[in-house]
Amino acid sequence: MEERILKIIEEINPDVLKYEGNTMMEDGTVDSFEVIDIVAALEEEFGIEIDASLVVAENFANKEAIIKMMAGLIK
Amino acid sequence: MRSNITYYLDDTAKEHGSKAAFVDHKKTVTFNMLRTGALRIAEQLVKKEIFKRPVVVYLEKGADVLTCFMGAAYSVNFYSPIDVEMPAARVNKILSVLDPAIVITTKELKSGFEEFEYSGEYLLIDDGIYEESGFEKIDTDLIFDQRSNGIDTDLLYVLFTSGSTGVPKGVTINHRAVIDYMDWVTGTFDITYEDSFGNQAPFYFDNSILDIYSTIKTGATCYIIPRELFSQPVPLLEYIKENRINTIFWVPSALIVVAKLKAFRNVDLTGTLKRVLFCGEVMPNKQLNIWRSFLPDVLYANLYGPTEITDACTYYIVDREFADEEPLPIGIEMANTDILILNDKDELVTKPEEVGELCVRGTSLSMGYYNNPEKTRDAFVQNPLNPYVPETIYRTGDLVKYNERHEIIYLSRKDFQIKHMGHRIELGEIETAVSSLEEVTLCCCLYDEARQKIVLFLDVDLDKAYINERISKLVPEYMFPNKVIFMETMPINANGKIDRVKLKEYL
Repeated sequence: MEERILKIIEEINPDVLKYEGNTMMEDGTVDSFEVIDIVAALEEEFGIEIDASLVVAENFANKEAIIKMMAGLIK
Repeated sequence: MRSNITYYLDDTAKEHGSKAAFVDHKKTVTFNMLRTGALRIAEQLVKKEIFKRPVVVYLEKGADVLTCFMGAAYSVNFYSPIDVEMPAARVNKILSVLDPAIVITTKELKSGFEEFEYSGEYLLIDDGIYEESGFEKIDTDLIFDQRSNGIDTDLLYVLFTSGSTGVPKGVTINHRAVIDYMDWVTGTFDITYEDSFGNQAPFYFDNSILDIYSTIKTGATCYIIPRELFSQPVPLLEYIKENRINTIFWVPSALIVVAKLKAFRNVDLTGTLKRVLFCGEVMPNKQLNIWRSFLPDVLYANLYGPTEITDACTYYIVDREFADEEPLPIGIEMANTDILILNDKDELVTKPEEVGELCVRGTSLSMGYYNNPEKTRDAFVQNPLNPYVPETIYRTGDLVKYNERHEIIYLSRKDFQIKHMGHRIELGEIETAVSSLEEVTLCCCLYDEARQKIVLFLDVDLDKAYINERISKLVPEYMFPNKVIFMETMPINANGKIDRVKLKEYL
């Protein structure tokens, strides 16, 4: 699962993979459109729906946070 | 007749003095505080004998910025905000165009500004400017005397926009233009002191003019929404609901984020939001239809206009259904504004479907680009339909047409200017920045409209992260290419220029 997530992220914004902090949204490493793109691509890849309430800074703090959020959605 | 925008603040402070004017994540500034703070700043400027000169405001986005703006206005000086995140090279270019009389900032931010090419005066502010005690010590006679020496065609602000050669252009706007625009805004949308705005636009972007001056004129309250909420739709809508914001004027990209994630299912804004206005780029009906389906009773209005004509010059209040793929009209001209659509022979377009350039005539027009007569002459020209008296029109460079209902439909740009996430960008400015890298010989930037991505074509295989890091000293982050494509051979057209048409096929 992790690999598939990372591949999606890489296609949308490779900078996210190199990002080492934990405030990616606030830092502007991803812009709001890239966040939507990542959400849409993850939804399609895994056939799930990511509720808007999950799209918060905490779940997009860095790539690990995205993976953790996805792990909670895919059981 | 009013010669200065601050007369409105005097009135509003008298009537709604203790009401919140601007609210940011740190503080609430009432109309009395706004006026007191602005007068303290104005007093300093007058005492330093600064009159009709550029005043740079270098602060984090927040209510204090607006107090400084009003301080400049009271003293008949004009403000120009510089964003604290703007790259140094760009700040330096702006400073060389503007040659500011003074920079208003804080003790904390001053050392950052000292890195730039500026050796002039500073005015440092803190919360002390809002102190009620000691108000009587402010020499208001001195300030009001200076104010009465100004006229309504004196400048209120200069906002810088992207320039294709890499030098930003300073759009100058006078008091009269903003007073004229405010009459239209507050009249058309019936704005009163009972309304509250949710501001999205940065203060260096002229969409903020509507929020700022509607608030000052009517006594409404303006909430300055923290930037990071715009990529978190649910907390964003919760913020609107909690603060009972009933009017928003955002760039479409901010509205699209909310629509795409269907955040309305989490937070219902029925009964909270009354007006949703947007401007700055094309609003796709596909996304607007999502807003309309969840919030059918809201007034939606599409505003259009470049900075050069004071925020907006046409508008369309959404009054009928649109299919997802239909374009939303930019509508009709605002009061006291005339729109001329001129074809390539400079003849007036009146019939539907004929394409022409949108040109504007009216009080709203900028006085020109600051300290740049050449660029001013190119864009602000004699009305070709009036051979009798001097009359300036502004040529927007936007190609438009009328539909069957005589509403204006935006089609495209004449040149290489784009709108990306609401920011106005000259692709040439990005190309100029990238060309400065020693590895690069040929480069070309295109905009992928469908995916909303800036795509950079290069004749050398460089990593996107590397390029963005290198150009970060030259251009702001919103100008960074979203995608980089390496071309072993760059296609060249018959004129020996990079073939943009050919490159489009690679998008």
